Amino acid sequence: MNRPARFVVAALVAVAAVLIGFTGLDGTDPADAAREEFVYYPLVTNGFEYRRVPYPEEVTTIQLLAEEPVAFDARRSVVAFWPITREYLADFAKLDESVPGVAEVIDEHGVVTAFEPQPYTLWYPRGLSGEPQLVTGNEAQQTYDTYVEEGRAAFEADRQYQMAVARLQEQIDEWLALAADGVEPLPDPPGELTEPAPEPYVAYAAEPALAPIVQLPAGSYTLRWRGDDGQIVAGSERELAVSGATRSGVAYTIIPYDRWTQPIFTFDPNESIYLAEDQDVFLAPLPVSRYSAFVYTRLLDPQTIDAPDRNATLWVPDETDPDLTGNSVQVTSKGEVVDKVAWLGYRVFQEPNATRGYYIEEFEADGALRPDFNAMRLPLDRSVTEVGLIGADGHAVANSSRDVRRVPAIPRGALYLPALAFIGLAISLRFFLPRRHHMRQDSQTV
Amino acid sequence: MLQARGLTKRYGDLLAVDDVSFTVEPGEIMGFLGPNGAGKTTTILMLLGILKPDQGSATVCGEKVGPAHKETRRLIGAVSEHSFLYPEMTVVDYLSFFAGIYRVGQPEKRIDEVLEELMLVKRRNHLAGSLSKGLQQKLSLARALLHEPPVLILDEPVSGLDPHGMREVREIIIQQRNRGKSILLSSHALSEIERFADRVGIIRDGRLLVEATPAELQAQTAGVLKLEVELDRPGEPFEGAVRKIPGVVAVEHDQGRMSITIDGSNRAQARQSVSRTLTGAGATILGLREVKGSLEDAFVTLTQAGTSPEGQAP
Amino acid sequence: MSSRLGSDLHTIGVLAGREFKMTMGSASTYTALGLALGLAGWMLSNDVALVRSNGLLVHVAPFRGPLLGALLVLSFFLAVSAVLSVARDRDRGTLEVLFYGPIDEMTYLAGKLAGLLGAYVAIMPLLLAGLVVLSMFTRFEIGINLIAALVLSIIPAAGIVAVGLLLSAAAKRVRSSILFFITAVGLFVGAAVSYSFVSRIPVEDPASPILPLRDALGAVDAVLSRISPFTYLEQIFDAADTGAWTAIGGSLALSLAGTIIASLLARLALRWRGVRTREE
Repeated sequence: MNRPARFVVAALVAVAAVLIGFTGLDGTDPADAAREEFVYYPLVTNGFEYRRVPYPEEVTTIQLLAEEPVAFDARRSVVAFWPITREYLADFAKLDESVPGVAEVIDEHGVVTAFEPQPYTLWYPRGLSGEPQLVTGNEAQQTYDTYVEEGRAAFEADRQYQMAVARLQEQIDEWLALAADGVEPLPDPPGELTEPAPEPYVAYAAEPALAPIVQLPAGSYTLRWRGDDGQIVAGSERELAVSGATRSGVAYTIIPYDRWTQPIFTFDPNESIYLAEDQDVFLAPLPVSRYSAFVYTRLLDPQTIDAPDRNATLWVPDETDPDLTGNSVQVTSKGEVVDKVAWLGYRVFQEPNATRGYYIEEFEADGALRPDFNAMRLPLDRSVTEVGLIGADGHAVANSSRDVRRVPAIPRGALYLPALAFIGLAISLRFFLPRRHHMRQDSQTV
Repeated sequence: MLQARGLTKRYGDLLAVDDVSFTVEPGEIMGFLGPNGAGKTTTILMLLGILKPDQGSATVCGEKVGPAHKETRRLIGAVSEHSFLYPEMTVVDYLSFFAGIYRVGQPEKRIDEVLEELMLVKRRNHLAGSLSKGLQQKLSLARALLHEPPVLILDEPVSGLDPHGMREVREIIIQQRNRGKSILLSSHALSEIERFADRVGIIRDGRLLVEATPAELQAQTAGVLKLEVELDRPGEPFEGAVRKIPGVVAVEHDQGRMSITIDGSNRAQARQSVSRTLTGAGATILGLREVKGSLEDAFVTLTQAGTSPEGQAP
Repeated sequence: MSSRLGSDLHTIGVLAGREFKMTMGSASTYTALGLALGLAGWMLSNDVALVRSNGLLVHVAPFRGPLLGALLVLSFFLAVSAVLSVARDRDRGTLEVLFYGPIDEMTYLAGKLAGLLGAYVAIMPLLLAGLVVLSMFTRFEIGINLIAALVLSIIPAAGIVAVGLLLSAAAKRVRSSILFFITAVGLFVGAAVSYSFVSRIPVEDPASPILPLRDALGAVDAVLSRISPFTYLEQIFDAADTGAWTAIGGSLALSLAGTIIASLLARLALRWRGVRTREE
């Protein structure tokens, strides 16, 4: 075998050896036995929901969102490695012993801040399907008390309404019986209820509890737990990685007229919207923030294997259903404002036997009906080059602008013209260049 | 002036060049001869500064030559045995390129001069790859002369040339010599070397056996006697008997003619030995004459294994 | 000293000029450019088709992929040119003839590097012109960030040429240099593609053997990425996406350092291998 070939074979063998070696490295010993440990069991958030997540001693880093309050709870429990999900799990059913104490946070400069337990409650103003708020301090008890009071009042109102409905139903039954008996003259049927049905009370507040509430700006910290005996609890030290959004902006849900149930989203302010020449669209703005994907996926699931790439990012809405009344989309054409489109409701009307099957119109309030979606309709003007959100205060919202371009209908082959031009030049150089041709002729006579 | 002092080069266990020293003065052509594998090319590469000698040194006009002294190579014009050209370049482009490398002043004028000198004017726009081997060799020589170096190192400069071309090149080399250049000329065309080399060096097994003028060389090898014998019959049957004569180093025969090279200082005894042997073997000698030793004879004698410059067996 | 430097620079200029003319006068250069624009056109045609079928397309930089693809084709061509250059000179003996003159390994390699890089710089406006035509056809925006990325691509291009020259200087013949190149490309591309492929396999079972394999390939890919100049080309485009140009400064410095190291190694390789086709 000659030298280059030997080199190639040696390189391949070396690579194979490295790969085989690495596949043997796993980093975790699934045979770890269960043991009693100190476990943090905080109520953490990803900005939308709160969840209790256990942090056994093997999970050394706790990812938190900047400026979001987190209720820290400490327990002793039995922890074992669960190979099915490759996680260290705390078996609270076996052992669930509360460890009272104070959370101490040490910042980069070594400054220690103690967080004493205080009352807190999770408050869902728009119901359990909505976004919760962690209410702390005296306000926690007040919120809970108000919730209980309002809940009772709503229950009572609803009970009264149900009783009124029942009474009316009785009256109707009586009248129907009279009608069936052929009573003459038949009295007037009972009228409808005048009072409207009370709005269902969906808000919810959890019963207040006590825990240190930690709320920190972005940075790296160390967390530890100081027990009631004044000593630092063994196994309580953790790294706190507090991260904020790396960028904020406005995303748009782009609702095509002819495919209104299949919207497309644009999150990144650097994105442009390319539309077919006659495409009609609606834009529904949504405030968003960008986070590290690695960090964000570990806020509620610290032991996940997802999103290993630390450079990847993701955009997250700041709220799911914003009220943009008073906002408008400013439409620009070559730097000049041509239109401002208000945020309106739209309804979809079915149109049997039509090509599309439906048409979309501005929503007009009619009793209990609601719009199918709220958005801003982009004018069909082909000269439109940019859209941007204008807030209710009349100022442009940062990172909300998007370039808009209409893509013409071009034959697909046209995109290969530049390539063909250079291929043609190459062929000319190779076969048809006069000087070379002359030389080749000359060479035949030498 | 080109000077080599104690040049030595090893390749593993092989001593390719062993303590080679010589000087080529300005206005002098030195022929550099040796059988294949003698160390000529290695010596030339060390003189060009492409190979670093293990021992010894070389200088050109007093400037050291070596891989670390690339500027000294401006003083050298070199032509190798094979004309390595850029086949896709025209003659004039090729020379312009090297004119740039050597920073030749007034390059266009100089190129025209060189093309004129080497009779390549009509080929100036021809691709180098389309030229015949002989013309390619002339182009290589043109490149070597472009920057008017004081020293020329030419390895087989007439290789591939027809007699007309050989004469042209010979005249150019002589002209360069007359302009005061030091010229080291390596060639297998011994008759050419003999005609215009001022001095000749013969290398064998890495060692410089002799460095002398052609006349001195012939004088050194005066002990080499060449007898031309005319017989009445083909000389083949008698070759064996003649070879046994002490001092006979070569026997050639062509029909009735026999050419016998004898390395020995006693001519008279040698003549008698040959005559006695042939007649004793039954041949009739129609004629016997001595032929003057040539450079080729000296070369053959010196480079044969077991022969020393003094004509004695080692 | 300054006159020697001036002399060296002049020699490098002459060598670079020849390399530049040869490259710019070669049909293969324009073939590579045609292929690069063909690839860009094909990638764009997919996006145009998407707009046609969906009515709309959201894209942060529709020319990012096509431009990066085109530059990868051109970089590959540049690498092949560099890989063939020294070995071809040695094969046909012209390397030896050059070294009869006032040329050493460093000036020779610097001339090659400058010439090939100069050709790359000269090709860029041609590439940009082709892309501008495509932009006019599609109305897709090229963007100032991508143009900046195109300009900065010169730095990793220098690294690509330097590595190509190293392989070429170390090879005895053209055939060997091609073999070295194919091996190197196979190693780099194989590691990157394998890692990318394995990373994309959805893993639902955390006990799956795919995970440690992914980690192993990731480690190999990370090491090779540090060496491969093509990685720095991609990093420039990542910076163009985010506008994080200062963050790329460190990577570009590493790329330049890699170029210098590869050039020095090429010099050693040339000295070791020699300038003759066959050593006596």
